[in-house]
Amino acid sequence: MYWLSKKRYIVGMLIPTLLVYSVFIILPIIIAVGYSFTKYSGIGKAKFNGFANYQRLFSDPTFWIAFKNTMIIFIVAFLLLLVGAFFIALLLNNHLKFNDFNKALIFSPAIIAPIIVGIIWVYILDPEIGIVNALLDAAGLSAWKQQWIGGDTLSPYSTAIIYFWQQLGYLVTIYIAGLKMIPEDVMEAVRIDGASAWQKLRYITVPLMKTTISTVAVLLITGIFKIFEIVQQTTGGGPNHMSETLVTYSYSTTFTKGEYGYGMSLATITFVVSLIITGVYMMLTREKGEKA
Amino acid sequence: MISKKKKTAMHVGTILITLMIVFPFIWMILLSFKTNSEIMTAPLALPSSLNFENYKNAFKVLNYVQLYGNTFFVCIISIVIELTITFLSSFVLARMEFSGRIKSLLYGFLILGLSISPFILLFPVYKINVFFKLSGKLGLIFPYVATSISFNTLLLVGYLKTLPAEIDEAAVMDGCSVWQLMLKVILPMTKPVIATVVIFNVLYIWNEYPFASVMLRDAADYTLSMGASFFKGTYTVDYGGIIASSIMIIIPELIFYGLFQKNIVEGMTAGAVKG
Amino acid sequence: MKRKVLSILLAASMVAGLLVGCGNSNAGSSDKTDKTENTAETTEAPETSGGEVTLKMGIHVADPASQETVTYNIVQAFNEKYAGKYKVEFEAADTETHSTNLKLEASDGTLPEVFWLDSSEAPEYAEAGYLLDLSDFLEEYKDTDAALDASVKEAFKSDIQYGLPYQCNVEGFFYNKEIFEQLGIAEPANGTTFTQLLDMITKCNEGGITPIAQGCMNSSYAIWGYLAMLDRYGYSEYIQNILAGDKKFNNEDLLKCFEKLQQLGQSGAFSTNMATQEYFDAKELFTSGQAAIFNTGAWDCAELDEKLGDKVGFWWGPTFDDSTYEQKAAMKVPSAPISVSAAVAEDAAKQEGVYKFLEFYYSEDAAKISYEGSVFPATNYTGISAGETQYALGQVMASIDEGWTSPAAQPDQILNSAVQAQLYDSMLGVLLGNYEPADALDKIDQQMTY
Repeated sequence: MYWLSKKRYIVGMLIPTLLVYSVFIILPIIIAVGYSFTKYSGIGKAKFNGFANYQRLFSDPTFWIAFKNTMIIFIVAFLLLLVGAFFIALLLNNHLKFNDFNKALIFSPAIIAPIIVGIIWVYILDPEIGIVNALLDAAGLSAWKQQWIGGDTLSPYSTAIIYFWQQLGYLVTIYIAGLKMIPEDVMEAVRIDGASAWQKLRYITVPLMKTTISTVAVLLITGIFKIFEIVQQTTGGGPNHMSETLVTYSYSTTFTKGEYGYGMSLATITFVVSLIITGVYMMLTREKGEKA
Repeated sequence: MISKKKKTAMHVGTILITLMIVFPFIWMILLSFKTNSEIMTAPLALPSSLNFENYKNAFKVLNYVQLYGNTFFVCIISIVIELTITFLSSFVLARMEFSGRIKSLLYGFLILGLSISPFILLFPVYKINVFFKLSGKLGLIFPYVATSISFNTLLLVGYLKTLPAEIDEAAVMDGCSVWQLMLKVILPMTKPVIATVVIFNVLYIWNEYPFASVMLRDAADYTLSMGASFFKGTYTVDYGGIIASSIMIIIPELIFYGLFQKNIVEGMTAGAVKG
Repeated sequence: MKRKVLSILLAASMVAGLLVGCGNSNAGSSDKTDKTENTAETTEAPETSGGEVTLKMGIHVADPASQETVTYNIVQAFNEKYAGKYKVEFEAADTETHSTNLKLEASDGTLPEVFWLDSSEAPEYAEAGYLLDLSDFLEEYKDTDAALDASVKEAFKSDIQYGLPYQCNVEGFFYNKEIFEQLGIAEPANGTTFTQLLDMITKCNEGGITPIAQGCMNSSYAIWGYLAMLDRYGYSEYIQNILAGDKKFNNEDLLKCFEKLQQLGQSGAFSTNMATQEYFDAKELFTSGQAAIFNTGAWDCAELDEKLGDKVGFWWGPTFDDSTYEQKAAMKVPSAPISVSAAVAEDAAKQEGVYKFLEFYYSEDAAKISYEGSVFPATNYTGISAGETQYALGQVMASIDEGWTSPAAQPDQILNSAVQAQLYDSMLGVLLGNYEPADALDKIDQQMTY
């Protein structure tokens, strides 16, 4: 390959991507970060106000609520999907009848428009007219009824569940692909050795799937920090901002409250948090990879 | 061999999971046959009859030929551009030889876009479009291309790295130029991952709303995702219309997904996994 | 093989896409979307568009024909009247998108000629010089000037007359007469006190009926009926002092008002899932006969007529014994402004067209179209009465005839968007029981400092 790696090829082939990316992603990010240091309503001229927005942000109780909710969603959805999708992939990665059909169906939530996702899940989770509470009533478990959405605690967990439902098919697909990569003879050898299912999983499948798991993790982390419509459509961040996430809060601040400058400071922090978590994750897994 | 009992259990398990996932989907289709008032007061009841009123209404309010046409137009152009440029850049990052540090810096730089929520970009991108005099449908193409770069890079670089270096060497021995190597040797081998990238990007563009709502002023330019807003006003809402118009968006997606389903799995096998 | 399929599909869809895309933009004028949504042109509009001046009107709904029918009809009538000379086309998007788009268009000088503007954002547009001073227009068109009361013009005046009212908002509580009859409770009437309301609520609950339908989710603005309550505690008298920084929202009068909201919440006036209900769901609850009272504005009249017929009544809301302010305070106020882009002044033909449009918009003909659609116009023409089947509108007009006073502007619309949003949040927070009244008011004061 060395002799084809001429500088002009390298530069020439990188430039179109770098150009579009710099102009339409990086430059807008820089502009947005710039606005985070201003007082600006989106109308007329922005006024530079230094770190005032960031000072306000750290003493803004709603920011901390949104931060907490985002972290709850992150932890719950990350674990559920990383692990859950893995086991469902194991289940579907058999030569059972219907599995192709199942795979297609599992993928279907990913293409439902967000506004519909909202309508449907409100009917499922609403404390008064929702199916879940109605089923609990019918099963004589009325004591278990909860304010799944619209209360002051459970909304982020519900958001995580809905995200799980929406993304499952997508991630299962990636995992199944990874499972298919494990050579048949390896599995056969293990079987002959008489390893238990757990040992097989622990010592063979998981280690061989490390890169897949890592890709899923990166898509998950960045995806969870962008969750917007689910929250917007099921609770609107309410009541009284109690189910707000970092993204919905920065959105409503920017567009509903018309505080563009402050909204951009919230957006900047969200971006940075997501980057840090992704970066830390990548560093941790890379180290492990090198040792192995 | 798997015992029969175990097999039954697995069957039951998969079917249960699938049902749970699919139930809301089927429910949505049922809802689309109900009147607005039925949807709100008795969401769970089966529709009283197979009532196509919502669809008729959707067809009356929206011009689907135009909506599908515009969406196709934006979709195709964006996909062609983004595939071309990200394939080239990913090829360089995955297979060309130069400083490893610069390589991983560039890779990280291109991946970082995964963390950005699109709405942050709205105002600046609008202004950048104005600067380049891009408006209407054309104003959507570069934002769509740009937002796909991170995802495409993640998948393409991951896949291209896994192809053994001997391929290139052999090709060069045979006297291939860089272009011949890329187009005639590597590209065909990349087919599954390209299919994956195409599918996910098509699905993204097909449903994209924030950029579309900001860039498109003229109803003649509207894309499919703008449809739902025609049924939710300040003081009125027509859930039936919203649901019917959403199903109109989904149908082509289902067909598309059905056609490409096998490729998705292979693409993932090939790309994301080895990354 | 698969590659072949893929490439054929790609190619095919590309061709199809191009064909559809191009073929369609050419055939634009004859297709449905154009006709019904974006250009309010009548099909019989003459082809002679030689000297026709096209004006864009930015509006806050995506489908004006069905979502702002009255305005759509007025524009139709205008286009008919001035066919061949002037034509108004809609630039339509839902409220939030419309607001975002106007900001962007203002920044690059592509604002539509005329547009609906959010009241809380309008002053900033005026200050930034984006809006045309309509004083000249009012001077030139004396009849229009006379048709608009001084008070409604005052609402959109700073150094310049930056807007004129789009419509008139009449807000309060509609109730279902049948429910009150069935439960054997006296119907609310203007002057009914808060204590009496609490009594009604108890009786509704005993009868298994939701007393007040209220939506909160994504509907924080749906507090119209409660705005007059603010005024019954003097809000409009001292709001300017608050905005000037001489007084706080957390004052003893508003505190009393918010304590009433809290009592309302605690009295079981609302359904337990109001936090996940939207304004639309609340409306459905009321129109389907499951709730006794619904807080909204006259814009819902047509829908209420259709679903409840003559069972509907209208009420200005409760009065209070512990307030020293005027209790006969109603809410009949100018809604958001229509504004004109400052750029219009540079084009004499366009300016003339805009003036003609505004003249027509505030004409008696337009007022009639408005009443027919159960919407109150901003103009003061008299002698127009509700149609026989316009029950809800008739009820509202009867309440108006009682002659209660109204503030010059809707209390929430004097505030900038951020403070306004906090006012909504605070009021709902108290109704929901999430905030203590004093804390809720403090939050508004806090927002004032940013």
